[in-house]
Amino acid sequence: MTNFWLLFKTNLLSLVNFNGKRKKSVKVQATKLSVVALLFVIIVGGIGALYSFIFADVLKLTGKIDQLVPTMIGLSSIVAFAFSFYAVANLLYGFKDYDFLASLPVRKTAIILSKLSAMFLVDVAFSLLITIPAIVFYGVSATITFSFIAQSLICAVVSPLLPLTISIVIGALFTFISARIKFKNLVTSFLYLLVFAVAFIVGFSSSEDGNLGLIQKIYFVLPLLTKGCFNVGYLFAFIGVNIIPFVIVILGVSLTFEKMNALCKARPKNKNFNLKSKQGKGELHTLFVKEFKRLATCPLYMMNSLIGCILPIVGVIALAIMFNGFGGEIASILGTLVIPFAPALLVFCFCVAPTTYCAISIEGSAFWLMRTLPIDSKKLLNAKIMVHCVFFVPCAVICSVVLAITFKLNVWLSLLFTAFSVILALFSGVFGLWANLKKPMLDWDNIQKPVKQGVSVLICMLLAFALSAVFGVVGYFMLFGQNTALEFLTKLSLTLYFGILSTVFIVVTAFIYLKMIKNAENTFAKISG
Amino acid sequence: MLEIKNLTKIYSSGVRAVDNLNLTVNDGETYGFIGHNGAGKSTTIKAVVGALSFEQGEIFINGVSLKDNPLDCKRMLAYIPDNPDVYDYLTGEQYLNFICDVFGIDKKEREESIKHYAEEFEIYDVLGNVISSYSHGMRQKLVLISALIHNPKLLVLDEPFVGLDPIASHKLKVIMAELCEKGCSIFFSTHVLEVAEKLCHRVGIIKNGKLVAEGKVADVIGDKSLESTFLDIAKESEND
Repeated sequence: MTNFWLLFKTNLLSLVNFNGKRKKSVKVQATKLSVVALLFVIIVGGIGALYSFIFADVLKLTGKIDQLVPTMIGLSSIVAFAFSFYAVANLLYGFKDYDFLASLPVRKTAIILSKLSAMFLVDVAFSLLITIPAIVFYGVSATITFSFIAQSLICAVVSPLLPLTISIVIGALFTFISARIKFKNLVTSFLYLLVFAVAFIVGFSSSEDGNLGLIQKIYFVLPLLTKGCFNVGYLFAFIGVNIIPFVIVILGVSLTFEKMNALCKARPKNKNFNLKSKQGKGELHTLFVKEFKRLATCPLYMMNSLIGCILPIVGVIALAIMFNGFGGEIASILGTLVIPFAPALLVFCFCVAPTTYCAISIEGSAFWLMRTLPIDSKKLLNAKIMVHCVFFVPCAVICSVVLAITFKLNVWLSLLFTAFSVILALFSGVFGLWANLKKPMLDWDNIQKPVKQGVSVLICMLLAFALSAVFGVVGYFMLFGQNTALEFLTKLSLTLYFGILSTVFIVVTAFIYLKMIKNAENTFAKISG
Repeated sequence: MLEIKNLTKIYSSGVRAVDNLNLTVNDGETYGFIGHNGAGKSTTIKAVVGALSFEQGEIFINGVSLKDNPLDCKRMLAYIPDNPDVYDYLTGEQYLNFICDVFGIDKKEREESIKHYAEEFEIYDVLGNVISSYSHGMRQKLVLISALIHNPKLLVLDEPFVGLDPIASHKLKVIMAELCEKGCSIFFSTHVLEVAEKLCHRVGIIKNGKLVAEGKVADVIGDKSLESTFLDIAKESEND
């Protein structure tokens, strides 16, 4: 246990980079960390409260208000799983300090648990922040007891174990399958996408209760959790369902830990190598290819970034299928209800993790190459933005065209909506890169750190949540703002709305881009030290 | 070829890593840069190759100011760092092609160069493998090849012999001598004083960011070995 705490503390120090900034006062560092923590609490708690409010309304109508708290715990588990199931393999296998840790007189289970503990703690915090508002909203609608609160909180604390266990099993399995294959990274990415697609299809195959049906379908232990919130016996059963598989899986992982890590390090050799030199098509093309390969060869980076591309495409196609049978007029009316909320969805998906948000950090210890080779820093930045655009611009066009066809939007609205989506895709790429240039993280020992734990990751997430909330509110008042202070929004036509949004985003994008390009050399010099 | 004038580098922590350093490396000359850990060798080298900005002074490569024309300067030089961290997601072949593309080397020339140096350093057969599967020595050899394939006018190396096997080490020394004969200048740091003594036309000893001794090897060491000269200088500086 002592060894676990020692390793855990080291991982935690590395996570918050406290020692790395000793020169600054501990007070300043503590303040910064507190601000980040506070923002996390406000955003996640706010989202939890918003969803609890919506679900409470629906559940009250159907007489199932008792399901509110368990449903929110289930939702937090699904979200935690969706954001981390592809990251667990990187925590356990092929990390840089494996040889060092393996040589220490420390149990393998201590190493494994110390690697997973930071993720588990974040998941617990997330789960509690989602659960607490749900308890409050439940208390408003029904009689609440102390034992219910205590049992719900216990469920919220142990519930991240099950998704973590499933993530470990998936990660170990995929690592084992892909380790011997030449294009292991592509295979791994494909397998993770497959898991995501299956979960999505299973969820969408549920027609019952919309979002609630989706949660019940994916989070299969929800009935046990619901009983666990009210009954002590079932509470123990729920704890068992979470803890027992976790313990078994951890023991299994510890037994195969050495072999799996050795497998990760072994690479297939090219036995009959023949040199095939290809000349590049200019500096920008060369840099673009390099950036593209970086993305394509890192499943974690690819999954984390491209999920924002895949989600809206899957979503709009699902919408298109759902509304396929409606005639022109009805489709148009439905469109006026759906399209005002499209910016909120798109801005969230595009801004939460653009490919550029860690494009500088991911250079890591090889950053010296960018500084010492005769490479124009402006072209390097452009290459990074281009990789983002290759994925997000077509995604923006597909989403807008599908929605325009589905809801029979008129030509002007279709064009402006498409223009807005494309500009938003550009904006997210430029903003992500700007954020990463401001807060790069080059001294990492595990790819997980720049991809999931950097400050730029947080900045992009905050922006995505904030803009999404603003657009959500605007969309809501455009539809239901009569007799409110924002009544003017109800008179705003969608064409004008997208025209204004496009103009604003094009100005902001151009401003950030030009400033970033102008200061590129100085920024790079600053990053180098 | 390389002229460092009044170079001063102060880190944001306030540490003066290099203090008013003046140094010149002539065409076709091998210059050994010697100093203890933390003396300022790597900082100077990183400033010379454009990896680190500096507050005061000037660096000229073949008469071109690094501050004013960094890209022109970088096209003339090659840098081999003490830690060969490169893009480990690429294969050795892809990495070398990337370097060739950056330096605009045509297909025929790059094929000849890559083949020649890869066979010389005995890593030709593994060029098709991803760099993450390479050992430290193999990476070091790959970085060496990437530095040599574009025929630099100035080769800057930071502890180049660390991690190399004796055969590769010997080959590197031979290649360094050949490059000098062709007019290429070499500026390198080392802890291996015997290597500096044998290879260098001139050496410079740096302590606390200041150049404390410089000149032809024979002039600097006199009738002593370079090692005892270095130790004497280190002691003198401590007493000061």
